[in-house]
Amino acid sequence: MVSASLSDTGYQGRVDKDSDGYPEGKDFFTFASVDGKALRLRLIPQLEQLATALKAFLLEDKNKRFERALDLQFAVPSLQMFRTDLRTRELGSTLGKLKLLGKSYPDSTQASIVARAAHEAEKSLQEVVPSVYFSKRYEKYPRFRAVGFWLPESPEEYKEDLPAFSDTLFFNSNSLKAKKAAWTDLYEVLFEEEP
Amino acid sequence: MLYTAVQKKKTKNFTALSFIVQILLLVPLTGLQARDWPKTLKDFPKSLQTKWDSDGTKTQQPSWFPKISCEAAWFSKQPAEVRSQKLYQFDFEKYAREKYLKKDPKALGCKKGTEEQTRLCVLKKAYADFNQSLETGTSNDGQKIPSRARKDCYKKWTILVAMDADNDLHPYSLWDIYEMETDYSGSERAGSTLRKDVLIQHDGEGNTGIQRLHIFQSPQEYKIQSMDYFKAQTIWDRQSPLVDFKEEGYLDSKKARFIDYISWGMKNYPAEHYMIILWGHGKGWLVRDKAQVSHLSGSELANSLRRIHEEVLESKRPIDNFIADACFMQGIELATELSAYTRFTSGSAQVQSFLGLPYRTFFYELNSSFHRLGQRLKRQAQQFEKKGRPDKAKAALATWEILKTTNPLPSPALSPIWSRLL
Repeated sequence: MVSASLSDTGYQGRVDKDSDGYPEGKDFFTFASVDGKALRLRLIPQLEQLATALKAFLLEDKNKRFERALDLQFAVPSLQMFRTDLRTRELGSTLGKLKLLGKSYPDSTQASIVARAAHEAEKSLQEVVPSVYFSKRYEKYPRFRAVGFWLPESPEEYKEDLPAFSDTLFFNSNSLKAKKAAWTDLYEVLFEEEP
Repeated sequence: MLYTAVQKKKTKNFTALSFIVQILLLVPLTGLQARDWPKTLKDFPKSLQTKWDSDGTKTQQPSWFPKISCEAAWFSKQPAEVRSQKLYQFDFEKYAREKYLKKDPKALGCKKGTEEQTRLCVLKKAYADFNQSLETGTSNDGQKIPSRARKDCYKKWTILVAMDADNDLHPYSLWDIYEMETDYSGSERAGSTLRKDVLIQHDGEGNTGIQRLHIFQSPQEYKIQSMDYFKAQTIWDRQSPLVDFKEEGYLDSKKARFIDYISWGMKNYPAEHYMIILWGHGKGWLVRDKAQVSHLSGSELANSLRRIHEEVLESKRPIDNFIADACFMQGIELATELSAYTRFTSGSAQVQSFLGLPYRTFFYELNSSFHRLGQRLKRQAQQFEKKGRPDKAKAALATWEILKTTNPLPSPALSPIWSRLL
C-alpha cells in the first residue's frame, strides 16, 4: 500500500511531484518498526557479543592489529550509508558483510567467530524489526532492515562524534558484564592510531 | 537532536509509516520463518500474543484510567436510526460558522478580549457542543440521556500527533491535516471514530500560537491540491474543531510543550493503546549545527517519554507506538533509549520528502483494513481446511483472535504471521 502510494502513479507520488519539499525524498524513503523489548532482550546482547568478537579479531595477532583495523575502516565506506551528514550505516547490510569475514581471513579463528556472531545478530534483527519498507534503490541489499547505527570510518570521525554518542545507552550497554562496555571497548581498539 | 524549528537544511522528513500498510503487503517473512506453525493461540510466541507484552504479562492501566469503553457508554445507548447517522463528521459550517460565529460571544459565555481571543473562545464552545453530541446518548423516544464525558471512558486507540511546523514545513502541515480530515466519498474513514481519536498539536509558522485540533472527517470533498493552495492557507482553513489553544511561547521549551500535550491527550482521551507521532524536521541522534538552539534532542526525547511513562502512565504500561515522521530518526541508538518506554518505535533512517507519511492512505487503512483482513483470514482458514492443512487454518483463526483484541489497528508484531499466511 505504501509502495503503491509512493509510486509515480500513486497518490503520494503524484502530489509529491507538485510540492517543492524535496520530492525526490521518496526515492530514498525507508521506514522500519522496532520492537523495543525484543531489542533490549535479544539484539543488544548479541550485538555486544559481536563487538567482543570483533575486538578479539583485531587483537588476535599483535603484528596485524593495525592492519586489520585499517582493513575494517576501509570497508566502512562500502557499507550502505544513509544520505545524510551523520555517520550512520545500515545495520542489516553491515551484519551481512560481517558474516563474510571468515572468507576474507581463512586462517583466522576469530574471523569465523565474528561471522557466527553476525549471523546470530542478523537473525535477531529480523525479529526485532517486524515490519520494514524501503524504496527500490535499496533492493540490492538483501539483508536491509532500514535501521541505522553510528559507525565512523576513521579515527578523526570517531573523535569528532564520540561526545555525542559516548553517553548513549547502546554505546554503554554492558549486559555481558565485562570490564568495559563492548562497543565502547571495540571502538577504542578499532580507532586507536598506530604509534 | 531530532526536531528543530529552525532547520535551514531541506531535510524534511517524509516517512511513511503505516505499519498497517507494511503489515498488509510488504513485510518480508521474519520471525516465524523457522518455526512450526502454532497450533493454538497459546502456542504463539509470547511477543506476538495479545497486549503485545513480550513477557506475556497482562497490560495494566494507570489509576486514572476509566472503567468503561466509550463504545459501551455511548453507542449502545443510541437507537439504530441514530447509529446509522454520520456521528463522526464535524460540519464546520453547522457547528462553527453558522451556529456560533454569528452569535453574540457574550451569550456563549466568552469574556471580552481581542477579536482573536473571542474567536478562539467561540470555536471552543462549538467543539464542546459537537463533542457533547457524541458523548450524550439518545433514548428510543429521542430524548437525550446523560452519558459519560470522553475522559471518563476509553477507546481502542488515541493517536497524538505533535506537529512542529514553525518553519518551512508549515504548508506541508496544513497539507497533511487536509489529508487526514477530508471526506472519503461519504464513508467515515478519516479522522476520529467511535474506536479511535486523532488529535494534533500544531505549532505553525509565525506568532500564531499553538492549536490543538481534534481531527474529524469533514464534509469537505477531497481533491488533489497544489502546493500553492496550502501556501495561501492558515490553520483556520482546516475543518476539524479546535479543542484547545496555547499562546506562542507557552511553557519554556519544546520538551515541556511536548510532555504537556501528550499528558493532556492521554488523560483527556484515554485509550487502550496510544500512538504518538512526532512530526517535523529530524536529525537523528546527532546534530552538528550548534546554532540550532531550538530543538528536541535524542536524549530530551527519551527523557520526555520516560516522564510520560512514569508520571502519566504510572509505569504500568509502555506507549504502544512512537513514530517519528521526520528524517533520520530510525537508529539503534535512539530506539534503544526509547525501548524502555515504547513497545514499537517506528521511523525512517533516511531523508524524506516534506510531505512525510502518506496520511491519506494511512488513515484510510486504519479505519478499513481490519474488517477486510478479518474476512480474508477467515477465507484463508476455510481454504486451508479444504486443502487438508488444519495447522494453517488454526493459525489463521488464531491470528484473527489476536487481531480482534487490537481492533482497529492490528499490531505490527503480527506482521510476520500475516505475511506468512497471506
